[in-house]
Amino acid sequence: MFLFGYSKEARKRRDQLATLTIAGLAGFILLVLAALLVYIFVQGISAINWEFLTQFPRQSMTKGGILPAIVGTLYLALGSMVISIPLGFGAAIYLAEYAKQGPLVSVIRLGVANLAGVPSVVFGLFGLSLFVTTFGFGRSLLSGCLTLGLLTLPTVTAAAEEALRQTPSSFREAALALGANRFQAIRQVILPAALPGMLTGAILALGRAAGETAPITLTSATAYSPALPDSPLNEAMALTTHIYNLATNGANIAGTRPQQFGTALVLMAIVLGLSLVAVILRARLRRSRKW
Amino acid sequence: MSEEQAKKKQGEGEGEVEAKGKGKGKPGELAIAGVVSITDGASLMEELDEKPKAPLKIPSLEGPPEPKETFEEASRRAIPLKPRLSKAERGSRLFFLFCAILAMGQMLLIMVFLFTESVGLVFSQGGSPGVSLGSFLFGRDWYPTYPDPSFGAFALICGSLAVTLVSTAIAAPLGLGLAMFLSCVAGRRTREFVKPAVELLASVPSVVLGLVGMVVIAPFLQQTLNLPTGLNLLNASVILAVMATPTIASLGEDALSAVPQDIKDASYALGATRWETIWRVTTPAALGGLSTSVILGLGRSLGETMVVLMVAGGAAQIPNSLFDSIRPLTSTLAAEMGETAIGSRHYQALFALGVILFFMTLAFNLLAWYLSRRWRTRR
Amino acid sequence: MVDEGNLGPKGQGADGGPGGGGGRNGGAGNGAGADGEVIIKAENVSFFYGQFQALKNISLDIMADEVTAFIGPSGCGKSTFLKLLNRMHDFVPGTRLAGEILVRGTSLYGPETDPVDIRRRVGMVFQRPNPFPKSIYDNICYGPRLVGVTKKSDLDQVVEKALKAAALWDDVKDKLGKSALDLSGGQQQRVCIARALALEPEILLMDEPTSALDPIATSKVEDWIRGAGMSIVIVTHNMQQAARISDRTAFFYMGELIEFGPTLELFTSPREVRTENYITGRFG
Repeated sequence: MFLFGYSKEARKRRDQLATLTIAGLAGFILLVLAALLVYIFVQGISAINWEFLTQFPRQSMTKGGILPAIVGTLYLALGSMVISIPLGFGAAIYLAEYAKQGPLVSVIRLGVANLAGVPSVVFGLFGLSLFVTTFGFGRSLLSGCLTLGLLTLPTVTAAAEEALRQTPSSFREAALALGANRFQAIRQVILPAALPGMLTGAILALGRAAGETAPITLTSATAYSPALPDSPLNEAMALTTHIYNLATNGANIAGTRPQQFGTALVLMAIVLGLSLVAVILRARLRRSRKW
Repeated sequence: MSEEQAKKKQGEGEGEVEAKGKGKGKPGELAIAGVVSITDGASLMEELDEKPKAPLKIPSLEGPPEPKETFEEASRRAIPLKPRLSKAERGSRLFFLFCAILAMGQMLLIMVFLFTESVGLVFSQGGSPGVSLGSFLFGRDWYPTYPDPSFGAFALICGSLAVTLVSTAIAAPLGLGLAMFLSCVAGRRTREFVKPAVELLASVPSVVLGLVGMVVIAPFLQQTLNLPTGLNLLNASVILAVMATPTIASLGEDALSAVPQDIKDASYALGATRWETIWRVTTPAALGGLSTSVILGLGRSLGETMVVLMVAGGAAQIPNSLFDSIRPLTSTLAAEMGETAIGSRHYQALFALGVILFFMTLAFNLLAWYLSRRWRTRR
Repeated sequence: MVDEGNLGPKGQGADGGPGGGGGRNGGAGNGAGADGEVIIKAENVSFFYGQFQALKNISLDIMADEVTAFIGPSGCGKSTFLKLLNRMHDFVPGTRLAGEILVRGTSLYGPETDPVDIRRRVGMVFQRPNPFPKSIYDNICYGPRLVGVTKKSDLDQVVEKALKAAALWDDVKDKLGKSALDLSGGQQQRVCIARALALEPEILLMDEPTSALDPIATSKVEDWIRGAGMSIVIVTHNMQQAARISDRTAFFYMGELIEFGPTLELFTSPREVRTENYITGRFG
């Protein structure tokens, strides 16, 4: 006992205290999460009805619904995936399957890792400068989709590369030993095995795209549109920017609280729903994977 | 090939019988070959004994041993092996490379565009003098829309740093505590439920959190502390902490769980309690990963836009207390970009803020990357 | 069951080795005759991973229709040499080769040789069973489909023949549509064998094919090898296994071929001290 400065009981008490503190912290965080979700649900659910989901806003946003915002968000999120999935999967295949260790690959990897940390508002500036101004797309769905696509590209790439790396190299060896060339091995064996994991990453990115605000305010959003967009070059409303506009510079900030929280609830349903799908898919994938 | 096949066909009749007895001596011994148990080594050996073998040609065993080839000699005659690629393969490979370069090249493109849009700021233009780098970075007055505008970003930079530091001061203990809980304390069941829940929290859109900050936290701060406004540094920090905590917890948990079980076992075997093991063995071993998680959390707070735009107050001043209103870089960008003419002084100044923001986050990311690499190579 | 397994592969072996029948006829009554055909001939082969020389000046002849075993302690180069025989090292950056390897007279690494074609002629089975996460049927069809067999009836035939050759047909004929990953380890490994056999290779390379299997599954795979009647090269770390199933054995040590000869001879009267020390368990 002389080795230790305090008695066995003191050590035990210390251990219990520390465990309790850690568990308490965790409980506190979960409580905050739960409170947050419940609060938004309670505040938002009263605003939600059929009209709210299917009508255009009326009377300076104080009445009516948020249909154009829902549609705009869906267009933007799905449109961004049209950009980021092919490019991201392609880049991931290169990094996981073809790239040899070398300066080029290190630079690409570093770039992808760092891009994931670049603030979304900087992507917004980039999109504004490149798509809105230089390419002349103006503030439009197209500019927004391209910007969000580039924004989610690192996420999609990293998740897809991870999924590809988790497929055992023995699959590749077996295919090559049977006389497949490299591309055939990738397309016929590795990609089918990795695809669920890759798509999980893409779904998470889809959720992120739907929840973004700053890049859209800079590249595509409008506060109000009387019609649904019928061309990629139209401006569009989005759920996130709609919440922001109502909460900060609407005509009647306090009066539109229910609409703000109703919109927030719809947005959360979309974003968390997508995340939930991805999380469940990933868990199921892990359990069912036999290799 | 067809000739060979014909030959094979021809020999097949005889070959059939022969094949059954193949390698086992006389064809008549087929029955034995079928029933020899694999564990019966002795009878197998006997069988093999009866079987004369073709003389083997092994250079080293015939005649005097050849002089051994040295490494250099062998190396000189060696040719590199590489996969032969068909045209289609080459094409697909190029396409994948293109994707990869585009994914990375974006980094360069962003830099180029931020620079080209902002570089005009330092030159005089249409009578208005250029803004020097020093006065831009360290000037304290941000009055971009005045008739005689002033572009001093120092207060904005300070605002960004202040809100980042305060929020991390809140989020780091919470996040690391949660990471310890998930990795070392919680049972498997609990972990499988809590970790996804934490990751869900990370995906709550920032604008929704900003709304909560405006509607819930701001009035609360205002009333309990008797402040003129609840939209301030503290409010923004609290909300940002809510956003950064899951990031830190999730990455921190990965780092703690990556510590090999055997060194934890070694600690328990020496009589350490759980807490002693966590604190003296697991945490030091995971330090690189843990610090990476905190730095990435910092980066996330620094780059977050909507929360600070909605709840930080928006006054471009250097904060003196937690209850001062601030205007970080990100919220300045988002708030003012909508009302500026493309190519104007103000527009250039905003892109210059983007450059500052870009490099600040880049520094954080590189630091995190460096730490995680160092940590990985050490293990 | 053994009969079922043994009868099938006979045709397979004959298919694969056109000259095989003749060779065996010549030596009727004597087992493999003195004029047994050489299927793979390696001459002065040295192999490098970067600056590390993994194989040092190896020359040996592998006979058609025989089972040849490569033994030696881990890292001795036996697997490396095996993988050279169907060009699997092509995909590893920094590998270099000196010397000549001939498959039935064709230079394996010659400029005219198509590596894809070589891999079809020289089949390979790996250490761990590695069926694709597809159905049993699709696993077997993978090779034939690559060479352009698309007709369902042809594929059905190939699958049945290959599974019979691998002595697996009776076990799986009712569940060809099931995932190959649902099978037991030994069955998975035989699916991999069948998958390789579906291409009707001239020779089959097996890289420690039983090291990941339990004893029962091991004995099934060994049974198959003993009865296959085709050219097989097997790498094994298990000397008893080499003694049980091979006709000839090559002992590798530190990248060199120490001794190569008829299995019994090598195990009962080794010519080299190092071989003796290894097979008597003094090292490795």
